[in-house]
Amino acid sequence: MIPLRWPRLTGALLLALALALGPIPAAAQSVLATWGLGVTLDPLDGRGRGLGSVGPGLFGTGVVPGDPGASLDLIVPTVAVSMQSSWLQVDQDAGSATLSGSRFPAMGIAYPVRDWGVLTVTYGGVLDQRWMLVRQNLLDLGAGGAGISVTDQFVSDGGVAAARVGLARRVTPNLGVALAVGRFTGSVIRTFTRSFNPLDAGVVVAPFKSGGRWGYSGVTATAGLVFDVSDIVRAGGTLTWSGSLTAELTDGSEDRARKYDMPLEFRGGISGALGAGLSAVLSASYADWSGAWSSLGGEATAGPALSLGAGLEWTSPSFLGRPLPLRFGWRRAKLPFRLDTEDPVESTLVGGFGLQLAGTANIPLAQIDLGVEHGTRSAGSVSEDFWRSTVSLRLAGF
Amino acid sequence: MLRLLPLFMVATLVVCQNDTPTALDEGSLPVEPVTLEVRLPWSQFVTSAQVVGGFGRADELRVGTIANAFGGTLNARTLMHLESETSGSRVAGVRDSQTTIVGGAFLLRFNPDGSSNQGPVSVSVGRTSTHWDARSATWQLAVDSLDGKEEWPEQGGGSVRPLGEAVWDPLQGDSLEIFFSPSALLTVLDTTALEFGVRVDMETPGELVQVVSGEIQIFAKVEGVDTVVTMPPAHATDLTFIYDPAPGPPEGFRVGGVPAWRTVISMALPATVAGTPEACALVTCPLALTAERISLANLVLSTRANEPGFQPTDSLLVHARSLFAPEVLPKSPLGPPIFRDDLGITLGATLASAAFAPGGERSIEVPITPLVWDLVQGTTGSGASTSPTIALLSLNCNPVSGSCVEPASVAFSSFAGAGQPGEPFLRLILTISGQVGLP
Repeated sequence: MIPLRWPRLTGALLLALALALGPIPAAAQSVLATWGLGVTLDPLDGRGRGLGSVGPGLFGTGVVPGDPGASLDLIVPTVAVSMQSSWLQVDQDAGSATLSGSRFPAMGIAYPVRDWGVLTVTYGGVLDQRWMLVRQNLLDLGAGGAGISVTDQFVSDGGVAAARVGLARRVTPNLGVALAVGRFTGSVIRTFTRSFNPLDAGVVVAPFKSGGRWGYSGVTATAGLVFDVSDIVRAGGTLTWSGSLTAELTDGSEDRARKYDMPLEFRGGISGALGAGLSAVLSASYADWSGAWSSLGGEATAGPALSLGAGLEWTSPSFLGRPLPLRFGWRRAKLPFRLDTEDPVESTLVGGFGLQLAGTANIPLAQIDLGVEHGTRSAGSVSEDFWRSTVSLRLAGF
Repeated sequence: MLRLLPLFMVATLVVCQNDTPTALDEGSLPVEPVTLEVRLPWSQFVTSAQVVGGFGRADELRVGTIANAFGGTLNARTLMHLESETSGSRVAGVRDSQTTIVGGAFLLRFNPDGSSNQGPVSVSVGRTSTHWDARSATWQLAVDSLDGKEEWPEQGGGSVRPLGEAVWDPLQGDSLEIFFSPSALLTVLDTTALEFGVRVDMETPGELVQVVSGEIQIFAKVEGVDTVVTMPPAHATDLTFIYDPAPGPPEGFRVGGVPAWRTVISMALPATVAGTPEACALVTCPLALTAERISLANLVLSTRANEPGFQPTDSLLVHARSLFAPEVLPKSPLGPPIFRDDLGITLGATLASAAFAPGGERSIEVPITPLVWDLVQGTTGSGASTSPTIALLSLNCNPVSGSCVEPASVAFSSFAGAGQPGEPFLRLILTISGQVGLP
């Protein structure tokens, strides 16, 4: 019998609190969120981040949004939640800035259901649309009056997420299939505010505000495949189809509603055992966002997004008698929304480790994984140097 | 350690700072609004205007005024009733004991900021001999009530029994002690007169001084003790002032004075205004007037020189209030302050006294933005119908409590009226923008 040492009630309450904080806004992702539909968010946990992975095909199990096959071999109910912190140095023509922020990129629950397979419920980010712009101007109001200095501020706050329900089932000892269906959720508030300097006006002047709040909706479905060759090789892939992403103004105005054609997305990866405790991972993802181009128009064009990743995992090390796998990797991603016809490119070196706190080698009951990335993004006149850490906590057996 | 992991996760998120990525490239701004100023002539936003007087009484101001041919014409005297127990009977009782009255003084406090003098002025105090009513006393009448009118034996407060005279130098402070002569002391201690009031006069021609308070002090010596003690002072229970001559009828718009005038304006805003080429490139022209577009609405008035004697000696405040029932003027109830700042202080126009001196005419702006928002929307924020009529009035506001009283001072504000040079207009700052949408 598996020794369960997790304090059930207290832990569950605290975890519930952590999950309740899920809507904590994502922040400090990238200034590239300014263009198009924002910055795409990969649904990865701390382990995947530490390996440079961009998709499925990892050895072991997990609860990962967008990859229902990751939970294929789970035999105990499992909850997983990830949190991410970012530190950004942004350089633009007009200056530079340092930013930081935290977010929950993903969370999920997996539950083995009789012999049907593993049922998963996940929630994860898809697009980050959080950015702002502040500028100051001296306006000539005409009519013979003196000018007045104003501060313009535009804030875009929100993004797109997806809630999914999936089922993973092993159909043969070597082959597993998975399917997840879900809905896009989330919202964005876009607000322009012009504030007037009361010293110039001689009296308090009410700021001008214009904007709206759009709620997102749409359907998405993911099919997954996992193929194992003994314990030596695992290959996995997912194909995600999405209907149109609909953005509706919450006041019901139809003239400002939008529909975006979401791309068909392929993610694939392969893991291979290189030796005792050492394995390698290669993965790739591809999605052609050019279908959304017609919705965006103007200067904000979109194109294919291609990501590649590679990494090594060494599972032999231990700490205080507990497994302490170490991970290293590299990742490169071409982001879909272009600036000045240039494709933004993100390139990172990654590393990380895991620490199994309770359970056995094949059945982790409590595990923490940390992935740390250091990389750059650049497009046109914008370049970003960033550090990003992703911590995932996985609890099972409750 | 395991037990604390979720708590660690929560704490990590709570303590982390969340910054929003800030773009610096203005090209990423999805809207480019245009802000413009529009000046609506009087005829385009006003349906009627009138000046209505008679609001408030001098005693409500709780500040007296003394003047001697100020501006060549204005005379003013301050009247006070003193606490009854201070009048002779109580002092006489003290005298019957082992205490000897050795002297007394009348202590006056002034408002230097509201006074015209830069140098010393002579002020006198006398005990009134005629019964007067603080609520209704005027230069001509001691009492003006439903029961009848009683004129002063001599206009301007009747005859007084002199108590003393002294010189107040504002450089020495804001108070003045006028010591009683032995005969004046006898006058103070006289218990036979029913009326125990004093009249304060300005003796220096051409000056005006505001009187904040007055009190009688009695000095006594106890038998066997060398020390002179000061008896508890007798404060004024009533404080008012009377003045002459009354100002003539207003030639333009007038606000303030005692009793106070109000300028009442009924408005009807146009639905549209002309736009600039930049604004018309964004939206349909002429520009529809909407609350969202209006950042500022100020009523712009041009000051005019007051008639001599009613030049302000301190800055004046002009506020705008809604009138709920203008058809029953002058009884129409006032609405709440139209504009308050973040601290809840009523916003009005502060007018320098020089603006009402010959050659000092200038434009001043009274902010009425919230009222204009309500007018273009048709209702107030609470859903009530909006009164299109406002009253411009002068208030004396307590900066601490925020409470205001009308009238504010004997001086008033004069403005150019309709059809006169400097006719008022409405200044609007509008911001025009295309709709903020999604990419």
